[in-house]
Amino acid sequence: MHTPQDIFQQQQLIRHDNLLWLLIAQGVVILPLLFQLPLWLWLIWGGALYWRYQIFKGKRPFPNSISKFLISALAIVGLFLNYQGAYGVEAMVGFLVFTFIIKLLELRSRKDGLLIICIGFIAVAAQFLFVQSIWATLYAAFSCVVLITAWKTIYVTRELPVKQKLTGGGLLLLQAIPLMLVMFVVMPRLGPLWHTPLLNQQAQTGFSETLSPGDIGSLVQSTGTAFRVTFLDETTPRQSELYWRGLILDTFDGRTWARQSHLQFAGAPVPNGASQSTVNYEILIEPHRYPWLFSLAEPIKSDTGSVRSRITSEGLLITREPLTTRLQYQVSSIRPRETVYKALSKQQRQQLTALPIGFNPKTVALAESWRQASDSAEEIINKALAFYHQDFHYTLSPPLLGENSVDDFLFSSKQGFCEHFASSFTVLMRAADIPARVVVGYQGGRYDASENYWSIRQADAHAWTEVWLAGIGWLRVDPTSAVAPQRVEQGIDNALQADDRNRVAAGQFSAPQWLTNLRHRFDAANYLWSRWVLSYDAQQQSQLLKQLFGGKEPWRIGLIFLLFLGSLMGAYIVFVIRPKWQARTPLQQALKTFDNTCQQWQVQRENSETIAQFCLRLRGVQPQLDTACERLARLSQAALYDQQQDNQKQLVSALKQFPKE
Amino acid sequence: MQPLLSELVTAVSHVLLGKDQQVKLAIACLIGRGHLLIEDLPGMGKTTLAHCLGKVLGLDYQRVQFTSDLLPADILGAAVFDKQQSTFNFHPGPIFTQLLLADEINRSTPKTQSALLEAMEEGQVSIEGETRQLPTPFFVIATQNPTSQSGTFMLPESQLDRFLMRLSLGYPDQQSERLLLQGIDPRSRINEMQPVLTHQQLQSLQQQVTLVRCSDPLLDYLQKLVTFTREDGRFTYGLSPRGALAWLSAAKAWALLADRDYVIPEDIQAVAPAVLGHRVRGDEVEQGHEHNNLIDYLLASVAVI
Repeated sequence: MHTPQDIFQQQQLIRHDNLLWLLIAQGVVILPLLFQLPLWLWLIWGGALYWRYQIFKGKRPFPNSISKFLISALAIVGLFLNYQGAYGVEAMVGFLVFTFIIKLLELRSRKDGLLIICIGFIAVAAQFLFVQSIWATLYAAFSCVVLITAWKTIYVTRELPVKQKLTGGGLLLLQAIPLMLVMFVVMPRLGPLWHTPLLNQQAQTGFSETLSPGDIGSLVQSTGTAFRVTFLDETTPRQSELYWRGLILDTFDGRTWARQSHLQFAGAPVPNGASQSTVNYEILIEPHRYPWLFSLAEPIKSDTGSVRSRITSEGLLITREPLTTRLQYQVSSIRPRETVYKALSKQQRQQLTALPIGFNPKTVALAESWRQASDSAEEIINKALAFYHQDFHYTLSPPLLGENSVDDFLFSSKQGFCEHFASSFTVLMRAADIPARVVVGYQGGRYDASENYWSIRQADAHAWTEVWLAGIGWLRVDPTSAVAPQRVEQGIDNALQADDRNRVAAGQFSAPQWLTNLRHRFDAANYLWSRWVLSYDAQQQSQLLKQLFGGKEPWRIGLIFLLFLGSLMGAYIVFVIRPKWQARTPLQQALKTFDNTCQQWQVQRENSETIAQFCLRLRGVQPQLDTACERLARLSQAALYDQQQDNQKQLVSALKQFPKE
Repeated sequence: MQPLLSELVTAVSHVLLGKDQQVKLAIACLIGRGHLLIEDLPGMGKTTLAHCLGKVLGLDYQRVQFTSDLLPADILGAAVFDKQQSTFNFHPGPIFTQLLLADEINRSTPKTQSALLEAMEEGQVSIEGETRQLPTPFFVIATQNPTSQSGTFMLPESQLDRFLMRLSLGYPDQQSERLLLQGIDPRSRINEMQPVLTHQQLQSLQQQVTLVRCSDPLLDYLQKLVTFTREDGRFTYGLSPRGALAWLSAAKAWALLADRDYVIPEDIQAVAPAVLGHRVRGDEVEQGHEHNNLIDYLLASVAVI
């Protein structure tokens, strides 16, 4: 007669305790994935859980092959429809998660439980396809602890408190960490073995290639970090000097600024040799899916690692492919004043002063009047800035503008955000026959003193103007600073009225101080994570390996690896095994020898037997050892218990030499 | 064995047939200045052993039969009013003796059992605010029936701890029983017994026990054993320091019986069941001498060297 326990043991079925742990582990693992996948997968998960529960209650059988086939076919069709037949990472992960969930309905024996655990580890890795932040990593570590715990539960038959189980799982994971670190550092960084299709849902962030009134105004309302900067020199530029140039817009259609890509300038700017005070900095940019990178004017040297990029003649940094992964790059810039610009060609000059005909007549007339009354371009610029200074307002919620948007802005509404100022100023300059262009990018940023980096958020988005002055070259003019100098000097949160400020970065600037501080700490943690872990690529690896070991040849790495393993074993021997050796007295070592000697007569000394008792027993089994045994018995008693210290040495040697006398 | 001691053992064994080991343990207990508890079923010779010991040791001897209505004053004594002199006179109870035989001690209530506590530990009694010294030496030999018997009160742990040893006699073997059946009544033999020891000889033996030496390896072994009882899961609670001291003095007495002036682990092991049986308790409720399983486990688990 078998008890239920016996049957469970024999057929290696999943016990109820295991089942619960497996369900929990699966839930923990797929939770972050479910948020990225179609909603109906939640339903399938709930249904599978319910079905498995009914099986557990004995109210429902395990599904047969036909129903399993039907469910799977339906889900595949569902995934196919959901992603419109496009195959991509999400569809594949969706399929993985679906099969993972549906495996619950086959969860019967220990083998199935192990399979669930294995797929669980794959699912943990899969979540990094979507998010790579430090929080995702911490969550993955937690998932691994739960998985390992569930894994252990399959084999543990005793009842243990939950905390103890989790601690056990956590300890196992901790033990793996040294190995993980070594693997992280020395494993070759292979490129992807096959081309990974892009994720479908992720949208482009930041600017687009055009600029209309209100674009930047809505961009600064979004949260998120655009990029982070570390200055590599001791002196860093002032905040008001931090104009991060991203994109130059040089064509105006009366309302929208756009970019004319075929316009080529004659060569990149070069330093004039007068001064060589370069600004060197490292930027870690979030993927925004556009092909431009940000830099301070004027970049002369850049290092973007494995991503191919170039510096254009406009002084912009452009990548060949849209940026889909986080990128860390270094740039050296020189000040525009120390740059030699090649003179504009006639065609370029014409292009940079072109305006759509018939639009904004009042603006054109105003500029024309300034041009006639002035001697130089500088004078016109000053007049324009003075004009802005009179009674313009810097606001995030300007009134809507009509067909002649610049006229409306300059002469009636007089309220606008930076793109209004930049756009109208550029139009004014062009109307006054001064070549000008709009630059969009970011201005300023938040300095984090603890980790020494600047964090540039979407809220720092900005637009300004660059004008061409004969003999000098491109000169940056920021009309916004004429209206709201605080914007440039102290950042956007100090330049706006209270109700506008609530809208910037979704209200993050109005949050309580402690929340802001906490967010800044999180930001710093994420920055360090990105900088030191996520951007560790083949190039950084070879640099680090060269720095640490003087090269990256396979034999060298192999040797290092062996050395590491050797030192781990060595540490184990020194700290764990050696103390045990040392704790053994000469007497104990001699006893060990003696016990080994006695094994030839198949006599084993019991734990509770003294040497004397054992000798008597041995004598009974092996009468030829009579005298030796008796002598040893007498000696041991005298040495150990009769407190004759000099006998102890005799005893040690007698034990070692036994049965010789 | 010292001639004196072997004479003691022979004299008692002459009456209590076939129980040499128990007799030796009992004598070891007394020369180790300990009190003795003899536990067994009725009719196994408990009282005979106690009687014999009293006789051969040459001590003043009183016997109290414990019953359920026995009161402390019945043992300790009480002040009685003297009409003629109009004073209270103290009438000492049976406890004022050198050897007290407390027969069937667990038939009395815990209150009465507790009356013995101070006497056993400190050799004195406090009655009506006055502390009175008991004669020296002072021994208690108690007998009890197994607690499973009806009409018994279990001795409290504090009381049990004051007995150095607890012995169980067990049935005699075939040969001894035949001799018992053939021979004359043991009671009459007891009456004929002569003291073997003088007072001074007993004291000198007790003195010799304290002089028995213990080497470091031996104390290591004893400490390992004691620690094991405190740390292993099968023991509900470990051995107290008093228990450890008791164990050591019992082992010393045992060594003296073997005519040795130093203790060896075999002594420790030999007295272990008698000394530990009533002091340790396993996690399962084990009755009576099934404790020996636990003690065997203890001795088998701890390495001698």
